[in-house]
Amino acid sequence: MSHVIELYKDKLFLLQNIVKLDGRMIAFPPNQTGFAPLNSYVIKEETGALMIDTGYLYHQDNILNQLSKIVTPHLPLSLLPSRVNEFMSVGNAKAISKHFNVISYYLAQPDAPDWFDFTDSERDLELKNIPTHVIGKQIKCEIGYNTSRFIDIMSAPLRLINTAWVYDKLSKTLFTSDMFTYALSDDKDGPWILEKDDIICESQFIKSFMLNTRYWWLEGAKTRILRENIRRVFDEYDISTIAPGYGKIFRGRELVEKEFKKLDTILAEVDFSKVKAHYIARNHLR
Amino acid sequence: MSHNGLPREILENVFWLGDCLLQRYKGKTYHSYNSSYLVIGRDGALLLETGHPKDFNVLHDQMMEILYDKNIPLKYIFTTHQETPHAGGIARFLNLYPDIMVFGDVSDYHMAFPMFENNFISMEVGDKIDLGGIELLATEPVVRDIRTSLWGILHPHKILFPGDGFAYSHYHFDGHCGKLAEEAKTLDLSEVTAVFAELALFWTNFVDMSVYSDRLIQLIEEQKIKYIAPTHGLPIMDIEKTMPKVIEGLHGPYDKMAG
Repeated sequence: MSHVIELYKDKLFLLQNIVKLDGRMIAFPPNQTGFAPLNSYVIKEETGALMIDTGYLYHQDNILNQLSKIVTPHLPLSLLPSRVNEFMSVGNAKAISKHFNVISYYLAQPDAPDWFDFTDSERDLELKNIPTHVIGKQIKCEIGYNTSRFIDIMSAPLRLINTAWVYDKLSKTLFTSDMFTYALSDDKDGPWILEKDDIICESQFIKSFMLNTRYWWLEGAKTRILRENIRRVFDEYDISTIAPGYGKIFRGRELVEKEFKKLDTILAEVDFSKVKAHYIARNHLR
Repeated sequence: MSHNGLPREILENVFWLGDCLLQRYKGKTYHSYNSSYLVIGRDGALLLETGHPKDFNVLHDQMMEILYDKNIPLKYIFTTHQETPHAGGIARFLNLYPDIMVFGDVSDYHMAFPMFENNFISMEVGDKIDLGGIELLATEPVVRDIRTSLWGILHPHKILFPGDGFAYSHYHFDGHCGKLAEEAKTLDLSEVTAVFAELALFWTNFVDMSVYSDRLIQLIEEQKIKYIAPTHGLPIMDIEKTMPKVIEGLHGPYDKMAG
């Protein structure tokens, strides 16, 4: 099941593909059941757009179809895979580049096509003519031409691998890639946008979700700097929507603050001053 | 032999393949490998890791030269985990050789390569691939950057294939490309391991790595590992001499942060 949701009129779109969890996806705990949305986003102006994450190849037809409802084939489009090394982020970068007017890539590494052109029997070396803007610690990017609508692309303050977060001032949306990804559903029909706290998203569940996926190493880690860096993002930006790479969207200033607080509490709880670090074996569930 | 010194037979019927990736950090230029290893068994060949997407043609040429010479087919692929520099080549290989079976923790591959869903065989720690006279044993991935990682141990050679464990760059300008760790005399293993960990293994900046290095040493001793063939580092043929430097480097980011 897939759909497009307009998060901000004409300016921000969510492309969702819903998956049933069966233990075969890295992003979710192996014992997790239910349904989860996999999210891509299009930030748009009249003279150009930027897409965050391109989805798995499995959803290629859906993604191309969804994108065609938002942008014309001629509109200048930039691609930003938030996790360069992961199939969920880069899976359709090549197909989108071939079907739409992709003018640039934003990536943690130079020469973006070297990182995503692997799905066909041959490479398309012409893609290498499309410039790559390398994301360092933080860069600004203008959406479209002379629009004065800038987004901030930054290195994620909590991550496993190279990961980018993005802030869009106009829509007050923070795109958090593989963080805040724990809001799932037992119902295949969602809802996929949360506007008040969900009982499922209580701290113990979030902690367990994090420890059983990308953040197994957090127990006993020095988390003070992580907490400071996350707090800095929260303090610096006026955030009314958290838009993760997968999982439900969080909307509303109060809810956003609550989710940040929960994360901060969890990071404080697992700090080395409270928990002794120990070896975590593969498949060790907590 | 290609410009980077590969392919190279590091032990009998175990070939090191791949190419370097140039990376810049704080004004220095580093090279790192996205290596693959080709193992020739009596019944078929096994490719460990499918290389960085940019390297497919180089890797394929290197592999074919050996398979042609040995007159043996490629039957199996094993990947340590699902990141693109390790598994990105799966579709390229399966497009050419649709009968090859891909082993490992195969989470996500049905989404990443749905057209080849029937080629994936899931392994757990303790499972084996039999090549005829040579076996690959799936083992615990002690230092990893994705929860679904698996390492491999080749028997009877006792070589550990640790994927992102033992990850470090090398100096192209000092002629380290294609060299074993012990041959790269001017390579500061501790420094390059620390730089790699700081940049690519974010979590090592925040975790006291003695917990993980103790487990690593335990694995090496328990399994009587003699050699280590990392994906990003130079192959290690003298564990006693080289491993302490790598472990020191692995501790580097945390010690720096704590200091």
